Amino acid sequence: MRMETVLVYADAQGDLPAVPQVTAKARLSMLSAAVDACKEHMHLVAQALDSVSAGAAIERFALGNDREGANLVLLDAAAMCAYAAYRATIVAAEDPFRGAQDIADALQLHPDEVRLRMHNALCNAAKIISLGRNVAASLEPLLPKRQSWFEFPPVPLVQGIADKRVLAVVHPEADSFSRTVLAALKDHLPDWEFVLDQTDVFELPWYAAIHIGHATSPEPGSRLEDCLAGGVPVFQIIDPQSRNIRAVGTASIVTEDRGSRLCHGIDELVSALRDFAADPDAVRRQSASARAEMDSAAAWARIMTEVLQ
Amino acid sequence: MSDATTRLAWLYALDDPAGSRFSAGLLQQFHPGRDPQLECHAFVAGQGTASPLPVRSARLATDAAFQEILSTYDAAIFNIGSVGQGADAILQTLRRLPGVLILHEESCQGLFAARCFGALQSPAAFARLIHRYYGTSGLDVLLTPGASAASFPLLEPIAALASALVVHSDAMETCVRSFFHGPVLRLQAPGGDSDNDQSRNYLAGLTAFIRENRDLLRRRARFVAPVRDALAQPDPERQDEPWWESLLGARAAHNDLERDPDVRSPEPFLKWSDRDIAKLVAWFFLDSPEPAQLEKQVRSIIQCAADRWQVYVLVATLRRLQELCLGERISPDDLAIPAARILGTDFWALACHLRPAAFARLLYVAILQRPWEQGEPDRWAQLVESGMPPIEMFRRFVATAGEGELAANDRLALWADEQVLVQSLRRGDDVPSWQPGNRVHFSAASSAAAPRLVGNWHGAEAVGRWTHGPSGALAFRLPANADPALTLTLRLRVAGTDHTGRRKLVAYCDGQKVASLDLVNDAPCDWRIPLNAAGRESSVVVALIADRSFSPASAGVSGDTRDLGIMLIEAVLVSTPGNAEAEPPEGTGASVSP
Repeated sequence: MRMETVLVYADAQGDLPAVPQVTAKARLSMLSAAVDACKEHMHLVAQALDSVSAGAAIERFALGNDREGANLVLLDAAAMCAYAAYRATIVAAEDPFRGAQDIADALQLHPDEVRLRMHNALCNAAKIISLGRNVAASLEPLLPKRQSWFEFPPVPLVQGIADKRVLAVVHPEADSFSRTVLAALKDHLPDWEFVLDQTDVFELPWYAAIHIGHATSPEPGSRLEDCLAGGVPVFQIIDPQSRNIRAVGTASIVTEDRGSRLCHGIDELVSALRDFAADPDAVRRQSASARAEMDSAAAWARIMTEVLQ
Repeated sequence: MSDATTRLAWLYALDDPAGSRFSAGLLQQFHPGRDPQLECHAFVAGQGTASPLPVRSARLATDAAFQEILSTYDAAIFNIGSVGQGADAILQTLRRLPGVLILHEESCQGLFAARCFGALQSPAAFARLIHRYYGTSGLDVLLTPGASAASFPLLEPIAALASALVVHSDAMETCVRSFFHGPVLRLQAPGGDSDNDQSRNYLAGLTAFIRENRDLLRRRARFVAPVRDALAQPDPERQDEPWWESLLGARAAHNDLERDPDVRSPEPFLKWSDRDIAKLVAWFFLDSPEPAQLEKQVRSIIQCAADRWQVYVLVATLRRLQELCLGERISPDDLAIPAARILGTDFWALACHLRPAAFARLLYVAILQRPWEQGEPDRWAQLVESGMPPIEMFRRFVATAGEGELAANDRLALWADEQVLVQSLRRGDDVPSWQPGNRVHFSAASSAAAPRLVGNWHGAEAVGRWTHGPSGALAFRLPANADPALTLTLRLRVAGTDHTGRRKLVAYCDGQKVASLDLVNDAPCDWRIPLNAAGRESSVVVALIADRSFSPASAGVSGDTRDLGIMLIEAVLVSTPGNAEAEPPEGTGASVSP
């Protein structure tokens, strides 16, 4: 018998709230990886859900506990709400409860009703797979069963050379140090734009990225690997006063042979940025090699293997 | 067989002696040919040997029996029994297929208690079940040692699964009619195996009851899918609607036991009263040596929280970490997930109530971010058991983690200071009442009784009084008729800003930061601190904490070896029309933020 796998996600064109960028990118990667992972005995269906309250999608599945030959995979919070009663596989690319308010608004429900429904989905799920340590940590205390989790595969940032727009990522340990760094950069490089707001981090092209402090932020877009995967040159500055070495590992610091530069002071950082502006191609050539090392497709394939088995 | 034949499936447990004897005795009366319009087959579950019966008998297949019964029989008769594997198997079938339930026992508490306290190891699951059916009063009985639970028999979650009930006493009939939405038959239970007349009468009554309610039993029996209840079509004529609602409730209760046995669901937090949530958390979720104190703390947090969801996430996180910290070791995988620092003061206010060893382990994991070594938590636990307040242990861990390493650490350190002050007050005498409008001087000449100074203070001087170290607190009670919106105006100063640079002061009231002040010199200034005393029953404690203290002798300024923090000169409490807000201080060199 051919096993039918149905991947359900919220439709961007429907009346459901738009999913966050990173979830949308994760969905695309997962659908692509699922198609690659699909075997002869599997029948894959990607189903866009335009409304949680629409009954048509739910009626696809037979009532009762005897549903066989079908594997339901829910890819976002809206899909969890629609199929809360089913024994599905849930893939959480973000904390689904963060989207409860938006879904409640769209459906004119109280947010607590939506939260309860989402939690029912987690209780009823056959398998829960979280992407990213932060998502796993958010869900862990709320789950009645163990989840499996994977690091969120690298999500490439977009490289751009037209404007000197630089993504500035401030990591938790460097909150106060970052103010000093950014003030100095504005003084020394007044025609550069340093962007802290990461709302459009995956939409805008970036000339370079500056990571201030040990790169411990787990959010996609704030990680070193997202820069490296997109070939965006990385400049990292570490607070010489920082004493929290124990809590971070070597992975939180760039290696200089991959188009990245580690700086131990503001003067060194400013100098490195000026050198980069003088000959950006040299750095970009190295960045391209780093991009080749970041095989996010393979990471997504590993995740989908776990999802589909 | 004609269409007029009534076909019955009789389910009973072999490992329940009383129920098994009862069922076997009745089934002996079904001799073939005695009533050609009645057929009965037996389905047995559980360990044991079935006595020879004149009817066809088969083992109950747990997974698929309900489908066979549904397609073959007019009605299923369930004799569940009280406890055992057989009872569980029959209950699973009843959950899928409503039928006629014979209620032998006057209470099903034992059945649920055995499951919750035995297999599930979850008193919280029992508490949720009790609360679902009996609300606050049920929870109270559960928490009262020696209180009678006879009025909470937990018949509802079993009876509501059935289409119709058979009971054996007037008391049971009265009881089930109070909640059950369906036909109830009262019969005299047969006295024994050999009591054939009573058995025959019993069967005659039961058969007549089933024939009389044949349409209802068939209609209700089609609600067979507990997992998909929300998707099933209710009765279009709505004649079964109240029954349907209670059926869904009972199935949800059983689903909760099965799929969420540890009660991880937010449902209690989003639906129960503040009081009941506090009881659930303090007595069932968290393991505290003083649950009554923890219960008060939880209620206080619920009342101040922006929404219940935040409280749920807070408690769920602490509960998960508590589980990790009850073990002797923590695995690297477990350490990785909760490794993010827990920064909220509400979290630590609850965590301080955990058992000392678990609390110490939690401090290693969340504050020092490393596993504990063997024996380390025990040494801390001994210190707490010999009198050290848990908040003092917390303060020492935060200090060890590194001053200034994280802004959040500083906030936690300040909060810990304040808590130590507040707790020292709780151990003290009565707090004096302070009438708004009365100005208080802290100089040596003053003999004002209010407010009381808490913590370490140097002796009074001609101008005012210094804290010994960076912090001190004021405590007072408000008159019953006091305006809830009040402003506390303090005239104060610090020392040594020429040597140390500017000084930051923070005021906390009952754990909440209410004002801060930035002083650039030592000149006296006025600081207006907004207080909201609405609904306050106990004393008001205002903690004042400077970011550092100053020793003139250490700095070589004078021979004064005292450790000077904040000098209070004068204080007055005034009602604030409208919302209380901080105003710019009178004095020089100060900026204020509420």
